[in-house]
Amino acid sequence: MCIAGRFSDKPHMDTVWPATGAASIDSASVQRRDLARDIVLGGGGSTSENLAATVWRVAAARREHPAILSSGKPITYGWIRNAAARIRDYLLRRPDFRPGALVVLALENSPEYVAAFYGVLLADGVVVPVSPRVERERWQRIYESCEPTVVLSRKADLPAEMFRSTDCRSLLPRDGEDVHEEPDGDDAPGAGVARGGRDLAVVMFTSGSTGAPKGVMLSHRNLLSNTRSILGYLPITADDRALMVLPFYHAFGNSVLQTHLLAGATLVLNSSLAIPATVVQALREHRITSLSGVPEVFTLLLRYATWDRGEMPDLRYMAVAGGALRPDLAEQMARTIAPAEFYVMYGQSEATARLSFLPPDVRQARCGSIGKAIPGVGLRVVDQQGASVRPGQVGMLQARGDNIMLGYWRDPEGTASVLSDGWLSCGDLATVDEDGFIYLRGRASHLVKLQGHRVHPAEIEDFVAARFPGSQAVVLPYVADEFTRLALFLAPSPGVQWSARDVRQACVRELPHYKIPHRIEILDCLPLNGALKVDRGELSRRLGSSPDRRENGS
Amino acid sequence: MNSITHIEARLLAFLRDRRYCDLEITAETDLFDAGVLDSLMLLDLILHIQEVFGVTAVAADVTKKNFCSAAALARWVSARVNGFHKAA
Repeated sequence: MCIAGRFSDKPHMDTVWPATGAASIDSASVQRRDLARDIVLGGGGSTSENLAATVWRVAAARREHPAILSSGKPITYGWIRNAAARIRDYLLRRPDFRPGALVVLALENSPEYVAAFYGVLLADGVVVPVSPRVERERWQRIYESCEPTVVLSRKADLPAEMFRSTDCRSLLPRDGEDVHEEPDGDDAPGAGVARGGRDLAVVMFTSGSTGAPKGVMLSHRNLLSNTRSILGYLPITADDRALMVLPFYHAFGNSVLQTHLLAGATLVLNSSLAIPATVVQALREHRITSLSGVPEVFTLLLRYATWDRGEMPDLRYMAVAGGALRPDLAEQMARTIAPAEFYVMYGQSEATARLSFLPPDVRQARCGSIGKAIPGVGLRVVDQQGASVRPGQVGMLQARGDNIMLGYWRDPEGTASVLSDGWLSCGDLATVDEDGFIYLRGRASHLVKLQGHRVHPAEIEDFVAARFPGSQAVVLPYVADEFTRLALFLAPSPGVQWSARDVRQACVRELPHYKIPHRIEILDCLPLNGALKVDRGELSRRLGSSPDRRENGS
Repeated sequence: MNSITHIEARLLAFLRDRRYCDLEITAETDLFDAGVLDSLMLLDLILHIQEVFGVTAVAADVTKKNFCSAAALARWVSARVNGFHKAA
């Protein structure tokens, strides 16, 4: 089966990024490449192509091959196909289900998630992936905003009474059932699918520039286009076994899911992958070929894992995205896994997932760069007037391509603030060098990346203000032990006594762990600047000057 | 002073302080099944143990066996505190 060629065979630099000059050049080579290896990719993409129908065709050709290894148990493409058909049939039988209906998946990484994801799309529904550990308030806002027709979960994943959901496990094939027979007399389910192309396929909730959850609307075309672009530069093959340490409901994890299922490869799931030794063991035991992760994963692997590269003969590459890994750590990681390659990548949910990558062979020479646009994507850095900047000059990073979202769910204003003339404002400040390599120079907004999750300090400030009425809260990011963390400064209303412990307890109870401020300080009043606004700079300096860890956790 | 039950109690207090989960965390709660441990929590736990008990973890210590519950952590910390030092 012909899939991606070796990275080195490909002229990856054909995504020329103009160092100067006004317009960017989008890569035209992607389409060519797709046609050359369309057995797996399913025909090169008609304008109305449905993502699940394409995966369905791949699955038909790979029926006996494991799509997933779940706690050591192989789940074949045949099972995925059959299980997705059951989910589809269940939805179509429901009287309240219409094409375009929203279906929430509140599922941890599991075969059920994968079956449900494609089942919903085969039924012409729209998938809304949500972490089953989502905090109550955020869930409420998401629920009210998208009014899902169905919530699919598993008993094992249900956090208390929060989700009134259908247990999708009860819908799926049982152990021992023959799942390799053709599901319900339907060998070309693509024919039964009405939606595709620019139709909405997925709404992925993320933090927006104001802190409220924003639903990133992705079409079938967005997902297929980004998946194909990634297959255009990562050396993913049908024989791959990728170790999955990212959640599927996250844009990065979703991209790993889509690329590997479209390639007919195998994803290896494991529940205890926080432990570096467990990751290394899994790499060895399952003869893993690739690992994609957020920076924190690699930081921990470098610190607390013992490597014997000889025991991982099949490992071909690792890839980091979802935040910046310190360049020296990236180099260290690359040396550790050599001759396997290490990819530095960049993207965001609004671009489906991926926007740029740094080819391993130039990583050292372009230390700290996020590389250039992936195939099919255009990137540019512009000044306030919208003109491309000179090399070295800081500007705003913008992107375009078939992977750029349709917009934010029920938020035309928010959409207009980031999308105009087909360009997405990424929200990052950047420079470009003489050869077109892009370097990030900070966020244009206050958004912070924590373990791959985008968080706006205002989310936590609003939460604390609601729980502790009359108080004033400021949340700031800082770095300690190579991890980005949050600090919360709180000035209670006059005459009220709140302890850092009270505040911490409220946070621990109701916020997801990555949003819980690491350090909480109660102040009599917040420092003000000349304009009588809270002096965030002063508070930031405080964080830099007192790195005493003992204060952090209390 | 640093008896195993004392160590266990301090670790439990730290975990409860940092992580909410629907199940109340007990000494035997499987920290992986309960979704308590992710990369950040793991790092913080390692740093906390270093700070409070003076036990520095090396790669060979950071295992699923040692980190699967507060009780397991306490056994490991206690063994190290009481002189079964491994070469770092």
